[in-house]
Amino acid sequence: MFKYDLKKTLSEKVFIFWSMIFPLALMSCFYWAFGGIYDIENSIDTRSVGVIYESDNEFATYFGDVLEQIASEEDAILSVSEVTDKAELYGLLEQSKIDGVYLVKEDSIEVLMNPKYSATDSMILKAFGNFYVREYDMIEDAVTSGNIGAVATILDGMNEDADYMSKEEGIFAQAPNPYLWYFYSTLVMGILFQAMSGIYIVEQLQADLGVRKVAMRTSVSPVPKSRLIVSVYLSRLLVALGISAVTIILMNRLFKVPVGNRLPQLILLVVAANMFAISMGEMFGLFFKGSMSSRSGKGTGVIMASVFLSGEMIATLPGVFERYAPIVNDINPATVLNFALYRLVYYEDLTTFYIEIAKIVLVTVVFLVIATMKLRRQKYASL
Amino acid sequence: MSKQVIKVDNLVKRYKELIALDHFSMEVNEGEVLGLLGPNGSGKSTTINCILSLLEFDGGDIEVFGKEMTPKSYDLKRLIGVVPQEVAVYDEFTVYENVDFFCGLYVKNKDERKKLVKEAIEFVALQDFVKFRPKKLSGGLLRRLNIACGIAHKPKLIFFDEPTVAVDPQSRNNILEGILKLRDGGATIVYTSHYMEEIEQICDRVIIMDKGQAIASGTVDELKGMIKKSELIRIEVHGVDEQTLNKINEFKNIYTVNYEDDVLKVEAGSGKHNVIDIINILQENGFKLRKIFSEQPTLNDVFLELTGKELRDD
Repeated sequence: MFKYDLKKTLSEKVFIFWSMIFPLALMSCFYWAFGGIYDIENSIDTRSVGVIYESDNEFATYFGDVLEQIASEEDAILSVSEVTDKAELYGLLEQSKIDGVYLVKEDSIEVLMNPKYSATDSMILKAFGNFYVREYDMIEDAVTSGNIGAVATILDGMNEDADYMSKEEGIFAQAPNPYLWYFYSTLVMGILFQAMSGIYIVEQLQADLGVRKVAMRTSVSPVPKSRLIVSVYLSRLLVALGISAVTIILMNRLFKVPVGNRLPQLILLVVAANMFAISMGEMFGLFFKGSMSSRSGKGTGVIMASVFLSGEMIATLPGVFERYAPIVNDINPATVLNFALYRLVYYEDLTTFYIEIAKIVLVTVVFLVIATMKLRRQKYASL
Repeated sequence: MSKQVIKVDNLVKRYKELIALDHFSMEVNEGEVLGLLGPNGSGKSTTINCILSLLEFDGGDIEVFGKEMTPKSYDLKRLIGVVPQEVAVYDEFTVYENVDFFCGLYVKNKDERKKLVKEAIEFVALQDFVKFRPKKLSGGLLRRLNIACGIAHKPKLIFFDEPTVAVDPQSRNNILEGILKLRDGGATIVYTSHYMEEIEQICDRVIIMDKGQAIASGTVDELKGMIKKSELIRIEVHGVDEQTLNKINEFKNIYTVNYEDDVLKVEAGSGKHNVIDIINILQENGFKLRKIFSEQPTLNDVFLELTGKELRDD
């Protein structure tokens, strides 16, 4: 039964189109249209910074050494200005001749940015500063306690993950990189289109809805409804995950859109998102009125609205909601999934990411329980 | 006495104000083809869906193979096959895959299933189309596939719900012959249709339904015996006079005599010599006969006499 459910799902090209081909086509448009302006490769190009030392302790001295080391590497992400005079550096920053200024204090580092720089620029410079502070503190603690083994472990760790923001912040405290936001929105849109698959599940299992009465045939068979539901749901989820995996790989390889290097969390996100989308589709199929095509049409409308409000066409829109009506972002699945993906790629602390995933999983479970209860119904008022 | 396979007692089904089944009762005996005959909306499909426990109903009892039928009567469902009114197959699967999928809902063993699927496909003569998808099949072939999907697991009780709608005459005959073969193989069959010719051709017993009620039941001959008229005689003849018409009307088996546009129509009761008696009297009076037709009463006549309306409105 599962084999045939899988075959049926795979042969429904419409899902592959809406969940993979269409999003990739949109991504191609973004890539060609905005690639020159928001080149992601450029976003990790060298940033020039100035440094003002307000302290001359070891914390400050080592920071200077680390900066020098980074600036000397091939394809360095930072270059350090020769200028050390405070007023002169502020002037260069004002004239956009440098990207930022590190203000090195006793045991902290402040980053001064020109307000017109993008959030990504800001993120990178802040991330580096925060990273240094945290690692220095940890090494200092380890040395003070005489735990040399711990120092070695910390140094190993430093070589692995230096790209994340170390401190949790609201994503829209500063506008996110719109280029990336479009890509992530489009990916999320593709996943949410798996809701159509959920609508098909309802059509396939509910005898009073099918255009062709196949559901009637399965309903009078000796196979319990619960087994039919599990089989068809798992087959559709499996295909949806395959589609998402291919889309993400192509997005990453063709358009160089970063997806981070936390594979388990990325898989968790993709599984949760697809399960949510399919179960949401089941809700559309069960509770929207009208023919199946009418239900599909209404479902598509909801998805498009959700994706639009998440910033698919206007990347700053979620930021506006964050400021004036945060509830819109909180209840919009596309925005929640975008947030989660953005956090996964750019934030070191994943607490909020896990909270977002937990929310999605919770809603999915509620949807699944409702759908299963409704779909397990064996008798109908009319056929 | 043959075993009872289905027993429906006082079944009531309402759709809001509309009463679809009004205290409907029926029994189906093992090994027979029972026909449910009635116009569209008379309650035939509703009856089947109630028996299959797909539809909620408002009153009455249903027993299948001596047990109460419920949605979770999986042991009973295993013995039942359904050929629904609409073609219920997956467009994405080939002919073979469709039959295999639906057979797989009943039979888990792969080898056994393979044999059953092959037999079902041969039974409906679709061997040359096993790799075709439904969209490539004609209406008649689709209907045959619909049947194969419903019978592949060799059910003991099969419901055919108007399986010949929109089917060409040749395919229709194949389907009807197939149904008789299934009966001869030991299956009990419930067959619904609003085509009286089909019912007459294959059914051992018939229940005529109208407005959710069984208005008559019995064998085809028993049903025809219930009505006054048994023969309609049509003779093309020129210039028959009033006196001759009165003589014909005086025969004891004659109910009505009508002469119009050189066609004499006579409705007669049962009797072996109706036609020859009328021919004799016409020839004795010097009339030259052109064409003679004698039509036996149909189930439509039975329905017409019982309800005052035609069985088919198309």
